[in-house]
Amino acid sequence: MKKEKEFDDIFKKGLGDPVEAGYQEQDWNALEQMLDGNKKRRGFVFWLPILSSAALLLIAFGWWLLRPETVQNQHQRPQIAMHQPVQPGGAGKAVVQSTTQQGKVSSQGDLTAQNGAAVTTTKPGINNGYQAANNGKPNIGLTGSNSIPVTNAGGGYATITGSTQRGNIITLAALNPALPGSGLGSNLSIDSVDVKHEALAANKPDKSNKITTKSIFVQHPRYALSVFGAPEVNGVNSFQQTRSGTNIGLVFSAGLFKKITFSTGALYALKPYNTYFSNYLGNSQPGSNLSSINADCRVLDIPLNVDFQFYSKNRNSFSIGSGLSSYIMLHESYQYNYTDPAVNGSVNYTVPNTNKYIFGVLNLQATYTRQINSAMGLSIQPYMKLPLTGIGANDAKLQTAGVAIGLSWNLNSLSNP
Amino acid sequence: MGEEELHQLIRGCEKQDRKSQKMLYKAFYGFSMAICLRYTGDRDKAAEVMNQGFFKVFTNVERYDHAKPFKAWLGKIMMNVSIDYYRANLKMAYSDDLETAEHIGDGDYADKNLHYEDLLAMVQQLPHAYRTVFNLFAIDGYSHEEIADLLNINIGTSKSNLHKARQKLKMMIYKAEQAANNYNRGIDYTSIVAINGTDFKPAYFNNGIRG
Repeated sequence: MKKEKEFDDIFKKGLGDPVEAGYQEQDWNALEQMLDGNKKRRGFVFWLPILSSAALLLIAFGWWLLRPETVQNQHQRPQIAMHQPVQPGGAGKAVVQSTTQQGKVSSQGDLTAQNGAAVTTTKPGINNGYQAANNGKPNIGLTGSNSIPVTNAGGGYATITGSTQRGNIITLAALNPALPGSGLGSNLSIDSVDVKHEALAANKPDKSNKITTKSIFVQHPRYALSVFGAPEVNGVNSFQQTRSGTNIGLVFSAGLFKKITFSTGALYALKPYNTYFSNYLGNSQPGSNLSSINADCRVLDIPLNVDFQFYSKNRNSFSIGSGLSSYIMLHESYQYNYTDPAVNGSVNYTVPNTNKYIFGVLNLQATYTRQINSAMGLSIQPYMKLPLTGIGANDAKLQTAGVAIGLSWNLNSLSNP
Repeated sequence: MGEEELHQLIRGCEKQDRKSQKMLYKAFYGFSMAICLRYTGDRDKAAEVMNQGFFKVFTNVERYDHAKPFKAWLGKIMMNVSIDYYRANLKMAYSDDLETAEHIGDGDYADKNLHYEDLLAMVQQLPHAYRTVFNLFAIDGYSHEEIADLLNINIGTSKSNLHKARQKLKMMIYKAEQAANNYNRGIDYTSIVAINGTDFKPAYFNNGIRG
């Protein structure tokens, strides 16, 4: 027994005086992961449904915000359906009366065509004279024998296209103009009239309407540079009729306060959109559901956003933010489509000038960021951009929603390798 | 580390302050690792078990009684997680490839000049079940009754495992001695060869010149 005790004591003494095991940072990292993992799983699972709901609510709120407005517009907007015989070749005058759903008929104008038909349309508010030429190209460059471009000489909206078709029925989707037009033949009737806002023709090029929205990336590192790209959808007045666009850019963000991050940058956005004529003109004009406009806008978006980080554990953080974007229109072109099959194709128009819209768009975004390591982070950001002012040649209220995916580079890692 | 500083760190840990946790971890890394190293087979497993111990420390630090020595509390936790590790590997623990060492007598081991690394390597080579019982009994001072209770084994098994652990360790010491003797002889032999070689070369060159 004594021998055994002595034997044991050799180990007890020898092992009781250990050579200090060298500290290894990787061991601490492993423990830190255990500590983080414990909270992370609980925290993430707990927060995930809340955050998902918050993001969905944000989107839904924007949707809701815009949808009622659209519906209201449709009701308030006078719907003009004119069925008026036009006497072929006659010199007589056809009077078209429009009615609004709200019961308001504002004014009547005269529309004269070369074929001798004069059509009067009603339009509240605007008494600009419109000139229509059947074969011509008023300042808009409309072509097609059956289209009648109308130019708003007073600086308002521009083009009215008419089409001939069977019968002596004229349907006017547009507003207030008196249209001197050229007739086509004896059996000319205008089935539909499309009004197009033409800044050029109106000698007011600064009135170009463009609608775009843009996403912004906000990262939670103190100073970060982010690259991101986003698929997005664009719609006018609502998201009922949308087209997909793309957004790519660079954003610099600075966390000047603990949970507050400011960000700015430059984002290039392709914003094609379709809209009905009525939406395009906005509230000021009655519209027709019979024609549509395709727009192709390219915008440089310069956002200024503030984000509030409301959750940050371990590598995950969530924030919500808002801000304003300034748009610099880089390219702006429109294609006007006519529902009347007699219209010969569509009409294209490119706005030659670039315009700026300072702080014309409200940004709303929710951002989830996961740090890949101390220097890099990955972000997913659902966002929405709501117009505060009309943008583009036609003052369209174009909004954008999308989900941006970005990679951020923590600039602080430069000084703290 | 002074007592005041230590308790300040512990208070920081109670608030789950990550910096305090890391400082405490670094301060007691060596102490904790030494315990886990002798209960486990290698350094990686030791680090794994030690981290389990620190995880328990940090998640239960509010249970620590500041009136008692922290090191003892920490050491107890490290030993407990080592036993947990043993339990988790219970199936492997009883693999018995006992190499009898009955022929090895109870020599005087006190003058063997065995260092920490040697002793640790030997203990780590023990089968898990033997290693755990030997650690608990010989180094940490537990009785067979306590060990049987801790490991949920019979007292007889505890005694048996302790005996087998000792026999294995004696065998290791014996083999280490043999290897050391061979090594020493090898050194001598090699040096002689070298001398011979050195002597040979000039002779060869001389022959060559003459030729």
